[in-house]
Amino acid sequence: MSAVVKTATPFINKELLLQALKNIGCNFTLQGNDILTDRKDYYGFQKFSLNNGRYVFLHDSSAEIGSFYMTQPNGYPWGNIKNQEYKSVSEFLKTVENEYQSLYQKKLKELELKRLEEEKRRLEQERIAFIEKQKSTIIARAKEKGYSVKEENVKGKIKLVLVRNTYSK
Amino acid sequence: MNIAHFEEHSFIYGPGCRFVIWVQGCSIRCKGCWNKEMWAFEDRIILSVKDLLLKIKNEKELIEGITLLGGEPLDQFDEIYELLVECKKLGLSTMLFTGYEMTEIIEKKMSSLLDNLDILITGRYDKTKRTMNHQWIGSTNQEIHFLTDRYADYQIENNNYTEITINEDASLTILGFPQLKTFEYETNLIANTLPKPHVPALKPKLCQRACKANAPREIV
Repeated sequence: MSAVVKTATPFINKELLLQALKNIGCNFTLQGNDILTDRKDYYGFQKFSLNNGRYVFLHDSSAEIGSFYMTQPNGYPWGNIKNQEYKSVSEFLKTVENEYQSLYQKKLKELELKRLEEEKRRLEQERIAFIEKQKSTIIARAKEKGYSVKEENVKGKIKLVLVRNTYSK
Repeated sequence: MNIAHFEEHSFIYGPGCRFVIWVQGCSIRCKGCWNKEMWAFEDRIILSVKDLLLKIKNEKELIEGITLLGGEPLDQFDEIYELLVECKKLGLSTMLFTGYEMTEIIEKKMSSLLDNLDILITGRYDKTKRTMNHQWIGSTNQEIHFLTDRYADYQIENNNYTEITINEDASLTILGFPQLKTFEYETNLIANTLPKPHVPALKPKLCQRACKANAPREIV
């Protein structure tokens, strides 16, 4: 016999956790570093509390089993999650975890896109800077050699028309 | 048409901003020619007159006219004629550089061309009379003919003209009569992108056969 133990995804990112709660229909209020959910048990509102860099869900251990309170209006463990259906603590956490993971993946994609956009913008700036430098070099050299320079911009291209009266130089 | 190169917008081959077309193939082949790579009657950019006109029409708001040079434009007389007629209909001005003399154009029964041109530059390039200081011409024996009143007031300004285009990819295109040493660094950069000077291996007779449809009426 061997044990298989899988821990839940640590909720590290507060922004993602709040969004996950919102997405699954769990109301919450912020209290210091705690996120108080609308799930109630014997000790009051069940909450996520920041502990060693992760949000840990705190609840009365009896809440997982179910009790008299479950049958009461607004009673615990919680009757509000989607379609008002009952979810035990572990089911609730699994739902939060799934949503958190989904948001996390989405966030990663957004960051990747943002990174690519930034990279693209950086390359574009590099190209523009190179062109500007090239243009300045050409104009300076042309002027040194007695050319007058007229600049035209046509459809993204820079056209430098260099004219020199060869009889004067 | 067999085209060596075209520039949608250039400011040094005639008045204003122009669509400039260098044709591929030349039967005259002047000694000391700057554009030897445009001598051979080998396919380069093959475009129908209709397709070329579409490209020109796309630039109509930005250009004043078209200019043809080469190569020898009159070696593709039928296509050039059709192109000029259509450009005139669009209200564009027309300009053409040829190595033929005016008398030769008339002798060769190509004078219908003259009714569709505003400016014509004629004459062989003579390297002994080379000039880099005249507008439009490469040797002083060449002649500029204003064939209509369109540019009656145009003042020729005899200077050295060079046009450097910095393309979107930062590559350069240098046109005109550049004194390349002045821009040695930049021209080194573009050396790899320009077609290498090419002396055609084909003999004149083969040239005619290779380009039968566009063969010149007479080889000089």
